[in-house]
Amino acid sequence: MNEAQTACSPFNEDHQSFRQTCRRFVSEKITPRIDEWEANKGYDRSIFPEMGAMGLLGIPYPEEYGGSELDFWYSVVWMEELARCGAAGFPMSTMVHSYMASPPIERFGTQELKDRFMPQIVAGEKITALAISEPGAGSDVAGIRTTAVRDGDHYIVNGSKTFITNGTEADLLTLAVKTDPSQTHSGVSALVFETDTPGFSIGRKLEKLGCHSSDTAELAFDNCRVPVKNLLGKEGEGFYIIMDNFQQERLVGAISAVAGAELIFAKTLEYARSRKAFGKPIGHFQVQRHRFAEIATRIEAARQMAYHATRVFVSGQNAVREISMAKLFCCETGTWVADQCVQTYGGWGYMEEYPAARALRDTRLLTIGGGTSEIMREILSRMVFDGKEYLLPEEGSSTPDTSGPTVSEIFGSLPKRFRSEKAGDLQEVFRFDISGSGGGTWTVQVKEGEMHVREGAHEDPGCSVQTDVDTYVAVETGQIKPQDAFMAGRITVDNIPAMMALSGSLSRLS
Amino acid sequence: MKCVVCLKRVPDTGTRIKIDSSGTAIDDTDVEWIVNPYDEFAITEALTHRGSDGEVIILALGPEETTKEIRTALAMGADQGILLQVQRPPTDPLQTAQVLASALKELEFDLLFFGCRGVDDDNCAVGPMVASILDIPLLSDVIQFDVEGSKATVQRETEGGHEIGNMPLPCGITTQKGLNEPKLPSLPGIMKAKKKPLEIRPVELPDSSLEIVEMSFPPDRPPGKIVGEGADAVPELIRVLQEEAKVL
Repeated sequence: MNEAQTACSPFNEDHQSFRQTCRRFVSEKITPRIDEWEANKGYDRSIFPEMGAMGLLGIPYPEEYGGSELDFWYSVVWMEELARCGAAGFPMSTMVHSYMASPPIERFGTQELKDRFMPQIVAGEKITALAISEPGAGSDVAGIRTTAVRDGDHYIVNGSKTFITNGTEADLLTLAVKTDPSQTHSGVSALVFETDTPGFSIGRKLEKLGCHSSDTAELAFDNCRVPVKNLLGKEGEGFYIIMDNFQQERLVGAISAVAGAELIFAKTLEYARSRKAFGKPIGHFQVQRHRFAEIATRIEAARQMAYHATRVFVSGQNAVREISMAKLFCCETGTWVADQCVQTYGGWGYMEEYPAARALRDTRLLTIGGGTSEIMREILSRMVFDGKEYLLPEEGSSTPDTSGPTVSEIFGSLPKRFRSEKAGDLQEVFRFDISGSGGGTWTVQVKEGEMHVREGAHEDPGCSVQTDVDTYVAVETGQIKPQDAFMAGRITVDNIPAMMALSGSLSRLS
Repeated sequence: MKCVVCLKRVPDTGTRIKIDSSGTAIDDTDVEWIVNPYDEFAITEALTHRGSDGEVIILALGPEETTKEIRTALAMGADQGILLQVQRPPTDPLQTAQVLASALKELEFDLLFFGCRGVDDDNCAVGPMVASILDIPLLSDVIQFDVEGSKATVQRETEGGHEIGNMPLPCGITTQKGLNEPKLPSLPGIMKAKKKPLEIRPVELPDSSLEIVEMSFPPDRPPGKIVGEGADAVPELIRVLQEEAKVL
């Protein structure tokens, strides 16, 4: 770093001193083994206690568990240095352990649970995994089907999970289950699951496109008995416990993406200085030089975005917007940079002898894992276009915000809000199909100056309306203008004059 | 055991060294500084001999910025640091030895540790000079070190072999690669190091009769030569080694 960069850096002297430790640890203990782990399709778990002894697995955690309880910038330093090992798989396994699977235990576990497991997690004696995704449910957490049925002071867990990072090595799972299969979001609970529980099995280790130094597995649960005291938070709070950690998880993704891009770019520059074509190093050709300028600029933009998101996150403010943008931009930049680097290496870029090939396949996961680019764009479009705000649960409280009206409450209120004098000669049957949890189909009939509302599909509708729960509630409670939701394609209506007449005849929801 | 480790701040071995305009010193702008790598063996070894009621003191001579390297040693586990502060570190090892020795006289240590050499000037001189001024035994280039009661047993590297010797305490060693695996400072160690005592004492350097006249880089190595590929190249390779390089 030059002087100006040092002055503008978010890292102080202590962070930098920690960086030296991380850099040496990675270069002495991890980099020499990474090729072997890539070939073996998994790391040697003896590295976890080594990281634990160095304090690398307890950066954010309290001293009582052996952690250092330090600000998130120390974690940023660790992520950036770990990326220098030369593969993205093993760093991902480490990040899952420290920043995805164990935070819910530390934040929502009972004191007894934390005292029991956190010291082992921080020491690297127990490896953790986050088990949410299922063959039929990825981004759609509320759609999981693994069940936990109460039996005295135990739950009986049945079902399966897939795409689980650390799946074959994990001693502990932060496991999402349905404790009430009749419910969607509110039926999800989170358990700490010990993998030596009878009935648990590893289905198979999955073959992946990249990230080979990290194991990924399918897990099966056959009548596994889990003590009720292993519950995180309360029954039915699982969805919010999982959501609560998403911001940190995505920030980790963004920072790691930038660090990985920087590493492969540095190696590519080195190659371009030594590789000769037509009698001179390829880095002397303008076409390559301009490519490097473009890569450097985009990496810098991504880094500053990730750092900015970190600043907002560390300040304790709501960082959903900044983190979603950073996740989207940094991860897409990461995959783009790897692709550009392969191009610079040319034929050798396609060969395993050089690092670009591995970087290309490893980075392909970036825009998929931890929330796809599509999900990031969806969140952001709701924020920038619809004015939606994503509120996070308060510290220490995982209770969902239930103060807003439900869809059925809104439909129940319609007849009372109907003003026949404003309805003119409206005579129509309206069919509302509201998708998502708590939605359903409703029929609203305006006939002879009166309104009748029934759940389900009745009569032949003269006007059909399709939308989702969030949009419908937001429109009815005045958070979004109906025309904005309509323009955004989040409500479709096939008879607009009738719908406008209906809207005009209703007084506001109080 | 009361152990003292003498530590030196040196340019990172990965730094590209430049000579300043005087031609007699290195240009220290843009230089990254580190704990002398051989001193890391010394610190690690001292920590293993500290015992439950002992302590490890880090003693360094250098500019104020050397506190950073002392903190690193404290993060590795040492108990306290003393910086003998000067504007610029001396290039004469005798000056360094004299200043260190006068501070060491007050410390009443059992064991004294030095790296076998500084990777900057490569003099290998300060340790033996200090021991000589203090009139205590010292063995250099140590690769194994055991202390029992008031006697130390030392194995040291010599040209083409090993030598084993005994010394009474207090004594000193200079540490060579192979003695141990240097400890890395852990994150909790870095945090604890901030609260450990670190005393800064400004000192005056004694006169020196040594003068650096000139510094220069070794000449560039001549480029390599590819004589061919595979088995076909062997006759030509032998000819070149015999006739041109004259090594066969």
